[in-house]
Amino acid sequence: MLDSLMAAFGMVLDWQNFFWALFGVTFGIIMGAIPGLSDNMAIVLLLPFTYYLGPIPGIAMLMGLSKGSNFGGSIPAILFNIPGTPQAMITTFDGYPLAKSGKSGKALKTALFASVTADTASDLVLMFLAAPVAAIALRIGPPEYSMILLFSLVLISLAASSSPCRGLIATALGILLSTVGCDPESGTPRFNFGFIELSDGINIMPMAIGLLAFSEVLRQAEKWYDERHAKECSECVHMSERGTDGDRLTLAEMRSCLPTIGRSTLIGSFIGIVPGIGTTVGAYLSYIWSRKKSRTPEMFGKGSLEGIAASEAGNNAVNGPNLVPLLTLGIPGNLAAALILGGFMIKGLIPGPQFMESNAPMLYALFIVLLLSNVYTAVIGGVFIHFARRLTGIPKAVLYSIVPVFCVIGSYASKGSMFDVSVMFIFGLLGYVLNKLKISMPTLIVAFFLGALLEHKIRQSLSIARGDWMIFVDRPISCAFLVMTLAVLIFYILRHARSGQPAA
Amino acid sequence: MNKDRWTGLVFIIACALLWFAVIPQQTDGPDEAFVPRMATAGMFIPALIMLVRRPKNQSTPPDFRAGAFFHSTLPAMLLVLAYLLGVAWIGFFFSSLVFIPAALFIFGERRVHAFWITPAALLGGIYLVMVHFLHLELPAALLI
Repeated sequence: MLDSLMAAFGMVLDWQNFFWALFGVTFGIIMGAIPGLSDNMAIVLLLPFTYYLGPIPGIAMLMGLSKGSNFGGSIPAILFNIPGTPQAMITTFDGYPLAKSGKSGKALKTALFASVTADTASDLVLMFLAAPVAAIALRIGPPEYSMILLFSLVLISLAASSSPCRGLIATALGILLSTVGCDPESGTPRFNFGFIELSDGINIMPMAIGLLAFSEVLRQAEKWYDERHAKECSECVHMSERGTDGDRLTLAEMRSCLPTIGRSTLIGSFIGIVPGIGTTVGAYLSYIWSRKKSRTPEMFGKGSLEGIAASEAGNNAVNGPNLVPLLTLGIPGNLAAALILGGFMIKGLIPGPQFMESNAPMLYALFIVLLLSNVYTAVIGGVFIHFARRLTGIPKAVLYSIVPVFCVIGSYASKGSMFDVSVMFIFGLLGYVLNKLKISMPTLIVAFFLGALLEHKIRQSLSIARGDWMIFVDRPISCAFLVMTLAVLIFYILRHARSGQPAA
Repeated sequence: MNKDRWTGLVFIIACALLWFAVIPQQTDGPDEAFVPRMATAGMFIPALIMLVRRPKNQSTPPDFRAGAFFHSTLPAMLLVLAYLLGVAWIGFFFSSLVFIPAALFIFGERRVHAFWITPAALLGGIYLVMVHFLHLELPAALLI
């Protein structure tokens, strides 16, 4: 191992590796910061460049892109309530309220600190636990997968909302929306209402932008009317009045976020190892768990630093472990990992169990480059924050006039379809109504994200078992998650019964 | 009526429509309808609980103020709808050039320089980044 490590250091000490990783991180932050342009699109745009680069600089650039865009997505999420990437959606809960109160710099710095710390820790998980963890991941089949998803959904619907009834409604509505498109088994159209564009289902980006950003514009229009009538609104109300230490993130605040980052890294790493669940779920579960554990849970959703740290650490911690199934088994954990797999294959490298043995120095070199990319994210991200936080000085009227323009770009850019722009508008109206009814939209979006996967895995499991539902009980990991799901449900029923409220 | 009960009622009506009208019409068979029906049932049960249980706080009204809605939210909705139709039929840049000053007016901006600086800076920046550097196409129809 020591020989491989020394050889790896020798391979890394080439200016090309440093330059292309830096380029990847910078381009990734820019792409992530533009709503609608995700890390996947950034990787697709730069994938052809890897033909002209060596294996390590090429893959270093792709991994830098992935890391950079993950942080970049939090910039518009904090400043404008528009998530740059779907996983940054959770950061809007506390980042945007903090920015509105004049502490956008503090919010962005917390996001950067949590992102880089969790990303580094998750890279260490990848480096030291790749082989043993891959052995466990190999035992996760469709029944286990289904029960993990069911457990996540029950946890999210009960814990994420102050009212379990509203949480369950949001989850069920999310699952219902996820069934739009085609039936996963028969391929027959379902809920497409004659629109061919809905054959692939609803695109998550316009849906999230509509529910979170456009509905916020409508709410602000209403608020502006109220303020005008209360004669509290001046001609030009600035989004924030910068305080004396509003933008500084103190050492004590960083220290106070560390337990949250640690917890979120563990959750994110676990989610990352299981292929396909994704960063959004990692971020949301981390957020919910951190709120439960926090000494000030009432601050969550109102601009809590812990909330930002939990969300950012949760989504960035998925990054490293997501590469575990890719590097050890050759199975990409998500679309970004699949595109990185493409980058490996362009260079004639086939990830899998043999890759770890035959290319050990190169693997270690990639691990070192991953850590180097985190340093770049910290430095370049810091520079970006310096400029980006000035945008909070934009007057409210200007801000809410330009947000719809970004909503159109964000919805259109992912597929180049005007239909997606209409979807954004419809979900904006739905978001406005749901907001009035106090239905949690993030819960709905996460349930939408997981719903299609849950249906697919349940039906896959039933195909394997020829329709026998006992397959979920017969397999130990699946049974354990089923028991945990029931335990959580019983816990909530008992708790609500004891507090005198009807249980959901 | 209490907000909880309003919410319960809205979702019960939605569930009835889904169960009896939309699901039979938009699915091909019981297998395809299984998950949608389960999700509808998953919405119906908590909605029913919210409708029938005694609310903790009787005085919570639904958060809807007709004045604010008709004077501010509805015009904003219609303006964005007109903007989207403009983007589809005329093109992104020209429609945005008209939309931004109109939205500024709705949101209470009255300083003259904001009406030309905002669209110029925003659309110039978007053109530079999206079209010039990233070579991404934005909606174009009769104009750009």
